[in-house]
Amino acid sequence: MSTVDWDEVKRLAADFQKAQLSSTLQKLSERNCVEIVTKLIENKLLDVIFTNDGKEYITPQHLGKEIKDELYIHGGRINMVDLSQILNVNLSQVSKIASDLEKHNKGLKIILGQLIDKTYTNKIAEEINDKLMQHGFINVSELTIHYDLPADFLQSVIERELGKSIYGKQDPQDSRVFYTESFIARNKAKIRGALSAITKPTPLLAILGQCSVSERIFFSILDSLQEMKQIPGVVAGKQGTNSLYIPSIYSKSQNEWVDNFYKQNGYLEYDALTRLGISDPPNFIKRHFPNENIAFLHSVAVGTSIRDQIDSNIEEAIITGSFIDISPLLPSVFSDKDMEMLLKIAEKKINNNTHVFAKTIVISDAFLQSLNKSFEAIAEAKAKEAVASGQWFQTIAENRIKSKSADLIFENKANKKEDRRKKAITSKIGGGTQGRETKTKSTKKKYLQGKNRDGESDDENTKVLSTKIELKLISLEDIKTEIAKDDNLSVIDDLVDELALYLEQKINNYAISIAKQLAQNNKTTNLSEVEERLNVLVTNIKIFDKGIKHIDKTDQPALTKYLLKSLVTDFVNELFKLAAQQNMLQFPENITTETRQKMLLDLPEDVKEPLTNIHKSIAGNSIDDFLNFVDAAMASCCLVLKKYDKKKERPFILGHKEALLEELNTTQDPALALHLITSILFTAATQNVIHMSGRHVSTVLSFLQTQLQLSTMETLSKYHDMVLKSLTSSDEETKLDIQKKLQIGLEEIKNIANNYKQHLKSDKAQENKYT
Amino acid sequence: MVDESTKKTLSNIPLLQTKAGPRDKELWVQRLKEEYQALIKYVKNNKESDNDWFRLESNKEGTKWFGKCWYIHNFLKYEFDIEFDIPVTYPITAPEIALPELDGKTAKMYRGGKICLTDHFKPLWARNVPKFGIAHAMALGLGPWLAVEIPDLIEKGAVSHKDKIDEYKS
Repeated sequence: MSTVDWDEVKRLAADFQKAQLSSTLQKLSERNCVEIVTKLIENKLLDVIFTNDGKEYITPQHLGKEIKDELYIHGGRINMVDLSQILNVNLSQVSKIASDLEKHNKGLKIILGQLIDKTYTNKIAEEINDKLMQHGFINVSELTIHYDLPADFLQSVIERELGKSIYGKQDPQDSRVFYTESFIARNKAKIRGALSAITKPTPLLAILGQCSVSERIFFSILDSLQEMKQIPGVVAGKQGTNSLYIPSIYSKSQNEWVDNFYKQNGYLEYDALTRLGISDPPNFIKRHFPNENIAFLHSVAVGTSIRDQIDSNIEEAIITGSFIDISPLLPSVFSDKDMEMLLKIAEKKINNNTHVFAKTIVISDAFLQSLNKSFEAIAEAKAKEAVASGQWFQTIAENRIKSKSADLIFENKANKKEDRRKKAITSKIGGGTQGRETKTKSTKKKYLQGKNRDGESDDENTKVLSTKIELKLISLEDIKTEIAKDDNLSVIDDLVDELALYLEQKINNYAISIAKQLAQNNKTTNLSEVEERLNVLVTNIKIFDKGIKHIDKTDQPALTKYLLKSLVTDFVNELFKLAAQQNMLQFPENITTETRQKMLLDLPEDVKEPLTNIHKSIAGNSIDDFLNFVDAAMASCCLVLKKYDKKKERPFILGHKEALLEELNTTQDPALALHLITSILFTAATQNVIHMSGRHVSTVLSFLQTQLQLSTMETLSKYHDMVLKSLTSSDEETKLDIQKKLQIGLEEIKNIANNYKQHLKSDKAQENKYT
Repeated sequence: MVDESTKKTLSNIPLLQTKAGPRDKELWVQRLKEEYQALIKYVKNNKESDNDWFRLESNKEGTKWFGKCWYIHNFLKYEFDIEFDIPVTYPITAPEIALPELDGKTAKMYRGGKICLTDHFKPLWARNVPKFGIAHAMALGLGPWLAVEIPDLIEKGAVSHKDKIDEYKS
């Protein structure tokens, strides 16, 4: 056993030796290897690429092969980033190798960091073709989204494959769009059908919507159709959806309509043309009728026929010396402005002896003149009236003063004028609505209104105006009514107003000139009248003065003063008025001492002095003083004082007495009656007249005491007391009582007056002589 | 401490079972067989891992061992002779491996060129009686000693390469 063991040991020792001696496995440790390889790469003896983890090396050739394999597996398209991850190789190495591959291999391409080979592009082309067949059209931009490839690449692919594997057609306008022939043909047919069916201008947008054809191809198809002349119409307006498709059938009928209308009517209305869809009527007409001589008015275009008609009518009016309203001759569509323009054109042709009124009415000169003449008579009459009434002088005088403060007056004038205008306007409108209706409103009504106003306020109004502002001898209303008498004229609206306005100035000027002439003539006659009146006044004053002198000296001053205050003042006022007129001064109706003073300041020196004297004499106590100045004063106003005629005295006294008696018989007033009776008795007693007021009654009565019978005197003095009482008494009852008594006594004292002869003491013979 | 690679190599060496020294006639044979098997395995392992570093053989009885070991430093192979006896108290006492060439050249050595093993070795060995054998002593004792001492000795110039020695000689 032990031997066996020892053998075994020996064997094991031998095995051990064998094991020790057996060749050592030549194994390099990992780090050695890394070191060796880096050494080799450093020395450029080895060309390998590290993997990402650095554990493996790979030769570029093998990497290229692997890339190709991966590309094949991924169906011909692979992202470099994915590739580098799959192969576990740095991206830069992968892309370097890939670009090498791209250089050497024609079918390979790097696009956007993706490797794409021929099979893939072929596949895409097929897919695109399928899609194109399906949809009829295809857009590269849509494909870019779908394939996530740049448009340029896809574009080139498609263009290359066009006709080979993609059966379609490129849009000539947009190279990015492709269609199949059938798609184009379908759309073409659709559009052709739609366009053929349209009979009126339609915006392309509407057609697009109706056809449900995409806007893009629509226009290219439209163009091609237009080229082939397959659309019955034209596209008007700028290119784009806003443009309008006008079918030729429509433009044809449009043209026909325009032709016919023009042929029939000789004019074309712009509105009508715009309604037909013509955007620029005047230009359209110009183009449409290049040979016609058409006048373009505000809202219509007019051909020669209508203009000729107008012209001939105007000519006729001129020849016959009448007027013509062209508005009825023209169609109703012609606006006032059109007619005005038309008339202007006509006026240019025909000699300028016409006037246009109310926009449409042509009036010949001859007619205007005849009309003017008819007014001349009126103007003359009015002028005469004005001069006679003194209004004329007054106005002239006023104007003179006003010219000094012209500004103020001017304003006033303007206001007044405006007022008048306003009045005219309001009367015109008169509750009408608008436009033509107002015009067609019966003119008669208006003139009735005018007439009414004539009779009433307006007449006065204008008179006041004329006196105050300017000399308007004939009012507008007068002229209007006069014109309106002519039925032919009054029928036409506004004509009367315009004519009146036109004529007003002329007629007024005429009237004024006439008035001036008349005024020249009138001055003398007027003067003589005044002279006469003043002379009478002076005579009266003298007679009254004489009467005063019969009375007691003590009572004389009071009576004289009264006389001065009444009659003398009247005379002086009259004289001042005349002087003012002669010197073109303004004066108020009622002249007082103060106004006289003022007037004196304005009067020229030669007139001023005598007038000042006479003015002062009023304030004095003596009639003689006054009479001394009268001559000079009258002379200053070119008047002559007539010699005092004694013969005239008696008839005057008689007349005066009769007048007093008459007045007495009619009066019921006790005081007045007493006054009159006193005057009558005085006249009877003294053969003189007396001018007195009620206050002087008692004075005169006391003077008469000596001449009257006692009983009469008693009755009168009693009555006088009663009158005084009635006037002074404050008690109502006694007043009534006295008045009753007075009424009873009235008849009695009246009888005294009527039978004054019996009551007088003496001079009966003399008395009889006069009765 | 024993480093990782040493641990790994140790684990690859089969452990022994027989506790017998040279005096235990029959059992020693048994032990010797196991020793050889372990050594064969160890050498095989070393060769596989390209770490062959010694040659050993023994006398008939397997009590005296001798051979060579080498260490590669700076691409130069330094070779040293090995010799050791199996102590009578084996396996309780570990064999004292000696490199007679280096006697007196380093402090980590006893007289006669017996290497001075680390403090770890002995308790480790004592713990693993009778599982450890010659192969373990080589791997745990001599291997690390060489790795530590030889470069140091070469640095010091105590040891020089044979070729250079030859050069000197010639």
